[in-house]
Amino acid sequence: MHCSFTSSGGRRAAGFSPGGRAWLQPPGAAVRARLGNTIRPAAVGCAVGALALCVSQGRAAVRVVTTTPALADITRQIGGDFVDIDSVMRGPEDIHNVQAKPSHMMMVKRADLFIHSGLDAELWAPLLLKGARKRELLPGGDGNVDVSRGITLKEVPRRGEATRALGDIHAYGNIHYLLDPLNGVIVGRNITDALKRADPAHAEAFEARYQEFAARLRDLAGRLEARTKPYAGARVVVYHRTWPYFLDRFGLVAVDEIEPKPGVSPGPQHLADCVETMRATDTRVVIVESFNSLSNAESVATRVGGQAVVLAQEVKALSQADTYEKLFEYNVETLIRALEATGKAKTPSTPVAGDP
Amino acid sequence: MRWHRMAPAAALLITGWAAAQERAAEDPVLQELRKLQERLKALERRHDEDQARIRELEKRLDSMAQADVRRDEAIETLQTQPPAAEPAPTSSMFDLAGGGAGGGNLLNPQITVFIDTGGSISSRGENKALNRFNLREVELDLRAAISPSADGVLIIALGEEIESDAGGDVEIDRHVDIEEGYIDFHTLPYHLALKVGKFRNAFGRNNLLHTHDLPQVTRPLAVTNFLGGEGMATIGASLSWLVPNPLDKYLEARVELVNADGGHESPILGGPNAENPAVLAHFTFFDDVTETSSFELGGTYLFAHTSDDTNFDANVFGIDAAYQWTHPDPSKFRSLLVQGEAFWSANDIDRGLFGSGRNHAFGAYAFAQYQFHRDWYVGLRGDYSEFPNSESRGPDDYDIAISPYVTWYLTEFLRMRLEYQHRMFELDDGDRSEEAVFLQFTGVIGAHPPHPYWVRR
Repeated sequence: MHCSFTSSGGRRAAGFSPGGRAWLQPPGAAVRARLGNTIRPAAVGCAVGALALCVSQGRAAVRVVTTTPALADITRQIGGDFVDIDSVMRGPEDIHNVQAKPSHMMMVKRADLFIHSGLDAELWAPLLLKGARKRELLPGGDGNVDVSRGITLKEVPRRGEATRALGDIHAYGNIHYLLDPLNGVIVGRNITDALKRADPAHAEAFEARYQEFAARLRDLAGRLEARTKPYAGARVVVYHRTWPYFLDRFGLVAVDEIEPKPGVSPGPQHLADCVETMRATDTRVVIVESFNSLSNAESVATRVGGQAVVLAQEVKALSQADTYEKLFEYNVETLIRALEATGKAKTPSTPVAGDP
Repeated sequence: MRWHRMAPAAALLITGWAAAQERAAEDPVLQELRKLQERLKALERRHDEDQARIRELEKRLDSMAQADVRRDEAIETLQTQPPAAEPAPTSSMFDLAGGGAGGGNLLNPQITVFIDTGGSISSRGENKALNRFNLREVELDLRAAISPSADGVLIIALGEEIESDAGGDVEIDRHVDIEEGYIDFHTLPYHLALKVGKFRNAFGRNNLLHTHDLPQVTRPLAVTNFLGGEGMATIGASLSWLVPNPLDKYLEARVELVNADGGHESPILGGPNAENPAVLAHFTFFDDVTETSSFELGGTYLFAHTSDDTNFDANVFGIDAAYQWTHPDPSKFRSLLVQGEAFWSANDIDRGLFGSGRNHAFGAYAFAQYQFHRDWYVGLRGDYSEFPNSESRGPDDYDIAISPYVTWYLTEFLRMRLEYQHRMFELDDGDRSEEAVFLQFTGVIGAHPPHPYWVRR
């Protein structure tokens, strides 16, 4: 907006007639020429200033739209003041079930980069890209950034095993890879490379900020791994298959899921089966996403004297998890509190390999 | 003063010169040793860095291995052995045409089959069209990117159309039809997009939806009476433009030039011999009210010749509006969709011996749908419709219906719906009414193509 405004000012300034051709001008042009002599230096100055402002401000920022707040936060940490960022998702909602609204299409239309989770995570994203009608953001375009490159995926279906009989599974593997902070380092690298391509003038700044970001994440992962070490092998039940990356990183074990199959609501029998599993495996904690039913989880947890805890599956899913780093800090501390409150502070009674 | 200022600089120069002389005079062996010492220190630094990196990688490997072992031990009785991981994809598998399953078949089109079936019971026993099971439609949906800026879409429908005459006899027409087959140039310059081929016309909102995507079991009466039993889908070209505007809001203008040959037996369009083209213009305006609520307004105008006589034409106007709200807390699973459309037509009709005349007709529907559970929706639709051009119904006839319904999504890909309809209609011999109950099952085989934002799930 700012850029177009200053540009038009420049065009107006350039419309003043050059003095050397005054004889070609129509009647009244002399007055305008004299006025022009006075105004011209100021106008040219304004135009140059406006152009400089346009170049320095209008083009300094890379306009980025991300599908998720986590990607927006990572981009913000790496891009700093050189990027303008919007996220399609707010945070609390289910990534599988996002409304691709026309207002989102307008948001994408204004973007230089569209950063997404890749794989089959955001099936609503193609509607936005087509609706925005911007070729460079389409898959294969310079502005289309798939951050899943280089990620080692979990739960990849074996060939021939991808069937809806298994529920709403993902064809390429579990998509919640950003719940391992060290995968955030890989995602950050992908985003950094994209920002450097989009704005080579600030490539060094992006690289430096990425190195700091990666160091912070490695440090965070180390600290939180140390924090969860006393609870290694502790068992939990999860609502949806959101947490394998998180649990593996911090040494916890999921013994059952509240959903009988991914994306399928639980019936009473399955909830009863979950209770039995928790009793049999001495499990007391149920992890719920911000978009799933806490009451279902609580109905199971309370029957074994346990707790259901809502963890942030996404940045801004909960107010306490408003950055990528805070998401892990909040989730780990909340989980530890729940494990301690339910008497699961130490490893379970059944010996687990790897325990001392 | 100047000498005083220069004195420190001179001293520095002299000191530096003296040091350089001293180094030059130093033994060459010592110099070599110093160089070696510096190289050794550099190698040590590099070694330390490499060791730190190796330790980090080892730690990561260990934690992964330990987590796997612990998991195996703990859940051995639960038989939930996770599948072995395969190498990660290193390139984007993000497919514009909809993504989803495919893996090794990325160059094949995305294939989806929709099965839409059910049955109905009517209070009028003689209406055998409504007292039977019905394979409403089976749709084969193929779509793929065919160039960086164009997609191809082919939708083949296999369906049953059941009609009963005044005597109650039933005629069943089982047919295979190309419901849509078009090339979509989705990213043309100047924010234009163009569809060419056969497509569902942009008359309002309901007409854009395929049978399996409808929010109710039945199409609104106004849509069937003005646009056809299955809505209006014709062959031609559809050009749309995202109109720049000072508010930078979503404003789309669309113009369609299509054949006037009737599509799905449209009551308005004139048939194969009618003069082409029919022209349709539509605009859409969308805005957010809050982060989780929005509204959309639209208007449509359709001009077409209603028969092979070029003096017979039709002008149809439509307005559509929708408001949708979702609870800001998604774990509450609450949402509301309110939508309505109105149609008004002025069309020439042939009155046989009585000559021709201008017929005016009006129709409208509105519904509200509320989500009260993760998988459950309830709704109520009201219908009123006159008949713009019907052989069996006179210009003064009208239908009124009210239809409560409930929808249950067993999964994203399997849905059941129950609808009750109370319909009042006027025939030449007086007022009548009919009660009907519809049951619908809809299943999706394959990846589900993304649907418009207002179609819940």
